[in-house]
Order: sequence, then structure tokens, then C-alpha cells
Amino acid sequence: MSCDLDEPRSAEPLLCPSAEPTAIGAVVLGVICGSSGASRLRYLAAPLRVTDEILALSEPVLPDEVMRFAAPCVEHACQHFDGTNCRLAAKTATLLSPVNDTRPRCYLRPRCRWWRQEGDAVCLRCPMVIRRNFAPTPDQATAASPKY
Amino acid sequence: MPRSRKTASAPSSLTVEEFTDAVLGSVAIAIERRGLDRPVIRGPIIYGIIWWPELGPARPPQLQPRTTARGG
Repeated sequence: MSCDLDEPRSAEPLLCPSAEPTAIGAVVLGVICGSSGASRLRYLAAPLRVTDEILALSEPVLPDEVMRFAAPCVEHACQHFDGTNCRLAAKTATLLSPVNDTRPRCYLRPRCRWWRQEGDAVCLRCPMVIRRNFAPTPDQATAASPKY
Repeated sequence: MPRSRKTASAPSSLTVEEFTDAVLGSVAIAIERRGLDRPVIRGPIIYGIIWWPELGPARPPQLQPRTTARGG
């Protein structure tokens, strides 16, 4: 079920660590674990290609409530991209509090848009990100808004 | 008395074998988080890629599969 993720190459697009499950080239980054008040991402040891069977596992909720997905950054097609940087990554690194003392093991890091831009600061906060979140903290809601 | 630390060491990575059980456990938490037993007051936040509305549901050109050029 796992798949290979290429080593970083200059021609390869950077990957968004909080992508839509149905994005082209999407892979599973991890699973949201823990209690509803302190949910954290457990990262997969290796990328897992998204399939209909994997998406169906999340029923009756939506896949991005229980899993995180990575896919090529769409840059100008995304409201968080300012022409150079991902503002969502910057807000994540500055508005959210770190949840880990050490950065998690993450297969995506060499090609991660957020890490390439913000370094380890964003890795210490990344585990608390849930893409579709019905109970966000105020800081998460602020960071997630393209208007902020 | 020193304050307890809010951060923790990163948990170990999930293996493919552990994946399905982890997702099923996470679904129960998500149901609680969403509050399916309560009326939804407002929608969720989306923390990640948000497409520009004018692009619609279509993917941007740079991510479309390449079509084979056909000679005339």
C-alpha cells in the first residue's frame, strides 16, 4: 500500500502538508490521534497513496477530519500563497504554540513547503493541525483564515 | 512549584500495519469533535489549501496531466 516519494529535486514541486484528500498526487501524511481536546497527528513512517478504500475508512466523517494529506503546492491557485511564500505556514509558525519538544519524524520534510519556508519552528506545531476542524482553537481559526 | 511543560516528545511513526486501526479510532474522536449529536452552529475551518473561487473545482493548469501532442 505504501508508495515511494522521490528525493527532492529542483524540478519537483514542493508539497503542501495540509492538502485536500482528492488532490492530484495526494498521499496520506498521518492520522489524527488522541482525545478531541488534544488531537495530534501521528505521522506515517512512509507515504501512502490515497485510494477510495482509504478515504472510505473515515465514514461517517470526512477524510480530512481524521487524516492529513500531502499533495503538490498549488501556489497561485491557493488563497494562502502571496506570490512568494505560504502565509498559512508563516501564521502556523508564529500564532500557534509548539506541541512537541522535538520535531516529529516526517517523511515529507525534504519536500515540505512549510518546512522549506519556516524551518523546524513549523514542525513543532504541525502535529496540531487538522485540515477540516469543527472545534478549532481561536489561534487555529485565525491562522486558517486567508483574510488574516 | 514549577509549571508542567505543555509540550511532549513526538510520538513514534505509524506503520502501514497500524494505519487502519488508527483511522478507525480517530473517527470516533472526530465524531465527538464535530458534535454529531448536537446541532451544527457553524461550519468547520479549513486549514490548508483553499482554492481561489474563480478557479472553481478544476485543478490549476500546472497540475493537469499532460496531453500527448498530436501531429496534423
